[in-house]
Amino acid sequence: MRIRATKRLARWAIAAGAGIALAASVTADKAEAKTEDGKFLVYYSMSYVGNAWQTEAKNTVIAMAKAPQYRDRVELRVQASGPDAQKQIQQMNAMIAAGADAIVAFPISPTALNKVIRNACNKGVVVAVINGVTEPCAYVVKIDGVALGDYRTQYVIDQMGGKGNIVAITGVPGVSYGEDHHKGFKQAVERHPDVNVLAELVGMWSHSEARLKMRELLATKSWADIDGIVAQTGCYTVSQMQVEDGWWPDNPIIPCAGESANGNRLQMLPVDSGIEGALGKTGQSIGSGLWAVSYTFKTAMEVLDGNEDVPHLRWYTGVEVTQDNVKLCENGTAEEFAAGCNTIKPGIVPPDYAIDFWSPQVPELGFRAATEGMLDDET
Amino acid sequence: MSDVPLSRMPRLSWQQGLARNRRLLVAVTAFIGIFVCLDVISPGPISYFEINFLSSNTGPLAFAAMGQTVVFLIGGFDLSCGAVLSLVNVIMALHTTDSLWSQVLMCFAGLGIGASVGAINGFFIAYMRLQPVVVTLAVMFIILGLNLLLMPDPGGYIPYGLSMVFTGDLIPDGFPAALLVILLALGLWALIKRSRFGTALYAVGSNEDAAFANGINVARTKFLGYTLAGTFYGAGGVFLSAQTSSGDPLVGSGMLLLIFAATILGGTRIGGGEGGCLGTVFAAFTLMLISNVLIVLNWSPHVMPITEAVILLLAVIGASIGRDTSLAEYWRVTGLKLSGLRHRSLPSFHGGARANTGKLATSWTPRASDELSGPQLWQWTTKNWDVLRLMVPAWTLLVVVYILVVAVIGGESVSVHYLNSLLTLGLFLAVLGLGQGAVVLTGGLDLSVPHTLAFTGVVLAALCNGMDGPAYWAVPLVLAIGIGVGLFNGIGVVLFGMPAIVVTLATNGIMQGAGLLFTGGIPTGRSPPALVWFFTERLAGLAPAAWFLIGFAGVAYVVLHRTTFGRRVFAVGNSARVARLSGVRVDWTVLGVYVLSGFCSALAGVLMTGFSTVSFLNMGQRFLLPAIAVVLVGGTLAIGGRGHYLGIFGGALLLTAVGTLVSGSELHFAWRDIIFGIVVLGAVLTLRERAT
Repeated sequence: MRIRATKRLARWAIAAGAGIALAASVTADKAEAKTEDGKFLVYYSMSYVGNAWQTEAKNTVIAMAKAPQYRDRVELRVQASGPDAQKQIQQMNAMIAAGADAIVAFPISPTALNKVIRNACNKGVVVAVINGVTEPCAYVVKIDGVALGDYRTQYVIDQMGGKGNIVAITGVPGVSYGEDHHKGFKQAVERHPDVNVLAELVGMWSHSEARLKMRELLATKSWADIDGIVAQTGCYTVSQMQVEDGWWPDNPIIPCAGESANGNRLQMLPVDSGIEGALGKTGQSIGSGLWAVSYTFKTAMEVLDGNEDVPHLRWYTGVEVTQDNVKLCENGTAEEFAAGCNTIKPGIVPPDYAIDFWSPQVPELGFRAATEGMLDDET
Repeated sequence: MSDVPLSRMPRLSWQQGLARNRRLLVAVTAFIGIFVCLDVISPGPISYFEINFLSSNTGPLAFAAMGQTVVFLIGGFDLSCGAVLSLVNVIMALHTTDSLWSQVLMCFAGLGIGASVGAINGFFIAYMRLQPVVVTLAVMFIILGLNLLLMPDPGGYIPYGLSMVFTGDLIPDGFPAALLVILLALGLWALIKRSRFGTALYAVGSNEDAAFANGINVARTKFLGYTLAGTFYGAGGVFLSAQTSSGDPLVGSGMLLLIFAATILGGTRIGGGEGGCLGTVFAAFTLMLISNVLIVLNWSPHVMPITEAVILLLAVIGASIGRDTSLAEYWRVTGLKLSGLRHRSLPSFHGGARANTGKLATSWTPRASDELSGPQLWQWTTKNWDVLRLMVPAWTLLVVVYILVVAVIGGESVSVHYLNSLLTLGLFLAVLGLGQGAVVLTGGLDLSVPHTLAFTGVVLAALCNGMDGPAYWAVPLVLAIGIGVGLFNGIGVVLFGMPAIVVTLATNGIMQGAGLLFTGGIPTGRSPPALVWFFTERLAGLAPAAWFLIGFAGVAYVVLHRTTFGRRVFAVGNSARVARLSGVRVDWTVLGVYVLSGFCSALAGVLMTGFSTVSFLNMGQRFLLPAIAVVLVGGTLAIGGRGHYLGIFGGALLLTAVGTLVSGSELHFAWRDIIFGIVVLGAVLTLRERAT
């Protein structure tokens, strides 16, 4: 009796297993289309999901794959691995096994992925990486963190008149770009003996963290003690805090050089412009390269298209926006950005929204690319 | 001696054997299932290369999870494992040179470092009788800080030869070296398991008192268990170094949750006594292969956290299915009740005994003490010393840190302004401390805090969008969401009898996914102005938020220490069985505790939205471990039953004060973690129960 029941169960199990396998293989067959219909299969391996910047980055890549020159030739798939390097390694290897032609990756670690990248290269898969890995066969698009940190700091020190107290808001400790940026900061400060580092706050590239750390500092110091701020992320927030605390408008907003948050740029608009959030502040906003993510995708496509002159390391710099050249966009189309606007109207996007998705290197992308993953003319 | 007949274990029938190894079987089945599934859906057959790659990539996780398995087996819990992996990785990447001797030496050094950290954990847990969560949390903080001091950013180098030993081929195109290393470790584990020490491990995990009664040296077994676990982490770190050929101070931290998942999926029971490393290794492979399956399914990245959470939940439910589950028990009781209803035999039909409600009608007056003499204050402290001593470390350290702040930084530190900052910044930890504290008091842990907090925050900001009008219904709505999350956790723990860590970990993943899906990844909207006013206005020198905190502390005190619910929480924490026999509805109390924690997470989310003026998807992450630390520093016993809210409150202010000290002075930021760790360990050491 029991044996028969077990047998029946086993038969069901086999049938069910086969059913699942069949269903799955149908899906897999679709994935296989990449070589048969002549499309390139490109994967975007994002590591971390969970902040606006990463989402914008994902959207810009999706939008870029829809650009006319790629639309009919590329199938883009996006996968996230979470904050664990081993999983990203496994994920990238699975992408290779799935027949990827190219992998665009946002690496969780600049060193841990080297082996899987080498493996990809050996199998003829193009790997393009944003902000750096150390494996030479990858195509790396990278911002010079040291130079950027130095440049931003020099700007603030100039605004301070070469002396006074400066505060640094750093990134995630232990991540290369953040550490490089801070090296640049220190290097610039060392050139000016009259500049004193009041505090180095760990900002974790998060506005809420920057605010918490700034409040901790302000428990014992006051705004009057601070003459300049260099923030990897957080200029918008620290300026906003000065308004909340009533420091502004009696005193000018403390000069801050930092991220490309829309709120940061809106604050630079003159107060009489009537724009919500405008403070007429002095400041500098250079992105850490949201546009470079879609540019990395372009790099991978260049290599796939047979261009053998693509360098394995491409440095990029951000577009500098200060109170002198800040300009509001009407609709935020790519054309408008090309014409020189660099800020989106308030209310449309949150203030921490990174606005440097457009760049001369990626002229296809407008505001909708970063928010919806769509090109301007798409419906 | 030889005359004593050794009782031999009776041979088990195959059904019994199956039942005994059900947990292992689930782990193995999951692995085979996912492997076969992959083989079918992949275009070609799975190649040798894939297997080799998978093995070397799973190695670090497998080793770390084996260590965690040993800790689970002796009823422990180790938060430090990810940090140890990084530590070994960082030191190896910094110091290994190309010479053969150096490579061999550094491998052993890696094992030694892991073993030493394990021994430190073991010393405090076994001999100083501290709770595993406290010790490993503190050690984790210290090592994280140390890693950043040793290697500020990724780099370093591991020689090629060392790499190939672990990740190359044993037989080219035949057998991967990584698999051999893992098999060797499993073989070693099999030997340990069959040794006296192995038996002791399982015995201590099953029932410490019984083990002690049978002549097992419990303290030594625990100490050696943690040391063995540390050695496994060390091996994981060596493997990781070989596999990545370089160092990264953060690489281990991201693995922590994955390590827990592998251990739980592998069938080792939280609380000890059941499971083993074989299942863990299979589970590690399964977890790695999930990435491959997700590639084929091609789902949105925003669904990823939910997928992982559901897999974890299913695995645990699968491992515990059977007749002896709590769900089956509830089903049986419900059936009885229903039949009682049908046959009109329930107590309520008989007008059964009614408990006295209201004040007891006694007429006693407190007797003047004839044992205590001296001033009233002295008498009072003596009487309440048991409670007071819980709060002493947190508040004393707070004073010490404050003196340091005044001495080192000076500035505005002696002012109402500093008090205001301390209170408004401590608010979040104090609120979360109540929820987490209540959960810990019943012996649980709520890991769903970060994304419950963030989700309520982003929903509130989106609904209000900078206006006060919607806040009147949006704030109650998001608080209700928090309560709902708490209910979900509570039901998982009570009704399904799942370990709190698993349920709340899964809930956290689900809430993360919910946040991503709700916002599309980009949160919009702003906090209602009233909430911003809460932090920026000054009423008699302090922000409304600071006054709110004072009121909140009062309410929290009443809830935990002056209500029937509070009493029941302590009763359940002391002993669920005794509480049940005393007529406490244990299930409702535990449910209530998780609901309270969910509510507190949501409240903290609302407050955080007001504080930040906007909300972010990752704004809860930074509060989880500090909130647990606050609860422990405040004198709460991690296995439950002992604690006081005013201690937790003091702990919240203490950690905030440490923050102002580190931010305001020129200390390297890595010291914040190290100081956190030392403060937690130091506070708990002074609270240690005397050996009885």
